[in-house]
Order: sequence, then structure tokens, then C-alpha cells
Amino acid sequence: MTVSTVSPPRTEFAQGVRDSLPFVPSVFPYGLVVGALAMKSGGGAIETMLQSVLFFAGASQIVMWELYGLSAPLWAIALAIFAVNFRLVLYSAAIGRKLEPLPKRKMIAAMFLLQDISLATGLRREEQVGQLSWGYYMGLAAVLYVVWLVATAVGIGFGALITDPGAIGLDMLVPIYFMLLVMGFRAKPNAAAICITSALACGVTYQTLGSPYHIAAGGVAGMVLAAALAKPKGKPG
Amino acid sequence: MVDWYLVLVVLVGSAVTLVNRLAGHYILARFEPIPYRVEAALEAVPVAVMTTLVVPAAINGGPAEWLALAAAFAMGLRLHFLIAVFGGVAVLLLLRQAGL
Repeated sequence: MTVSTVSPPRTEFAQGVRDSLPFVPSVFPYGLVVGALAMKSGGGAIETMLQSVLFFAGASQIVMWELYGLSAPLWAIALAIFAVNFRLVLYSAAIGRKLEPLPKRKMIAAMFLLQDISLATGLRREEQVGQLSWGYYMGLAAVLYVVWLVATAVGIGFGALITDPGAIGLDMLVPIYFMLLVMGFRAKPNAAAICITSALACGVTYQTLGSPYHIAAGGVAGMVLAAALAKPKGKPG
Repeated sequence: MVDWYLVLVVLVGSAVTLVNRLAGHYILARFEPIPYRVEAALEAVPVAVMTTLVVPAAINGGPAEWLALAAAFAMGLRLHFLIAVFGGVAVLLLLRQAGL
């Protein structure tokens, strides 16, 4: 085990908190939308809060309410959630290797809080500093979790007021925000080719099989291309 | 009143989500050392998957949505992340106001 602590844990935590702050204004409206959407789909305040506490995964929460609103069977809802969240399997494998060695309980807590922003920001931290500490990661993830819960609660409270999310652009906030997250990776090897391949596979699947299969299709296509283009590293290991 | 069926849906859904979150690290990562092609595939995950969260909006959108995405893209090349996000939304609202 290599001990190359960059800074004391408290400093790391504070840095994680700091790096999470730019994302708060984009996470908050998303949570607001989930809370409001849940109210419109027949959810109660308790069930909706419970969902945000246990899921902490916005896209799948939205999918759950859509399908619940359509009276889909439980197995279909579970399958759709699994497909939408399949990216978390890949995220988990990607970031688990970058996190400093952790006891099981801490690792499970870290994985429970894993989502798109903690992955992207965590990986960037590892790239810049050469290490991803538990303190930094938890500072980052905990802020986003708390913001998520507060935003859901506010969304529940004011859900009825947002009659048309399109009128204030909330429908496009999420795609725009993910596009910019993707752009943050543009210096990575083959990033543009991976992005375009994923977009094509995703678009075709979206138009044929439909949602939520487009997520897995695009993800797998991009990964396959990256694997095909990969070159062995000079150093062993 | 709590809807117990809905609580069940939430519990099942969150269990599935937790399985997703743990499976990558506890199953996928058991395969050490990771071959370089697998490594490259994993490195590609953020780009490959997050792209799919953008595509449906681009397909379902019209000129206003496309121009908003294009504007956000252009701003994202130069400006701060958040400025680009809200700049894109601002462009969208202006275009919708203009009737696009």
C-alpha cells in the first residue's frame, strides 16, 4: 500500500466540498424537477423523499415516475431502472480502482453516493493530483447528496407551481449539462471518436428499440471503440 | 397516507440501483490486472454513457433545442462550465420567446 497523502483529510474534505459547489446550481433544479414530477405522477411526499434518499440517481428516478404513472408492472420498472443505472456499474469499476484503499464499509458508502458528477470530478481529481482520497470524494459527494435531498423537498413543496417545465427551460437543462460534462473529457485519448460512436449507436437504438436501451447501446458502442483503438502501455501493470 | 405498493417500488428500485453501484467495484474489478483494452473501455465510460443522456433531447428537439446545444457547446470550449450551462438555457429561452 502506498501512502502518498497529498494533504490532511480535513483539507481534502474541504477541497472536495469546494469542488462540488460549482455543480450545486445544476443539481438543485434537477432535484426540483424530480420532486415536482413525482407529485404529478401520483407520488406522496414520503415516498418521493424516500426515493431521493435511497436512489440518489435522478435519471432513473424520473424513469420510475414515468413508468409508475403508466401503471407499468413492478418487474418492468425494476428492469428500466437497472438499464438506466447500468452506467453506475461501469462508473463503480472505474472509480473503485482510483480511490485510495478503503475498508469495506467506507467503500460501500462511497459507492452508494456514486453518480455522474462524483465520477467525473473524482476522476479529474485523480488525474490532477495523482490520488483520489476518501476525504475529497466524500466532501464532493456528501454536498451533492444533501443538495439533492433539499432540492427534492423543495420540488415536492413547489411542484404544483411548475406547471410547464419547458417554459423555464428545465427540460433542456439536463442534456445541456451532460453535454458540457462530456466536453470536460475532450483531452482524453480518442474522446471525440468515442463520443460520436456512442451518439450514433444511441440515436439508432433510441429510434428503434426505444428508451432505455439507448443508454446501454451508446455506452457499449463507445467502450468497444475505445477498446479497439487502445494501444498497450509502455510500462507493465 | 403511505402507499405501500409505491414504497415497494421505491425499495426494489433502490436495491437495483445499489446493486449497480456495487457490482462494478466488487465484481468487475476482481479481474486484476486489468487488460489494457478493458482499461481503455472503462476510461471511455463517462464519455460513452453521458453522451446518451444528450442524444434523445437532440433527436426530440427542434431548431431552438439544437441551437441551444450548439451555443452551449461553443461556450463550453472557452467559458466556465456553469456559464456555458446557463448560457445554453438562456439561448433556448430567447429562441422559444422568438417562437422557434
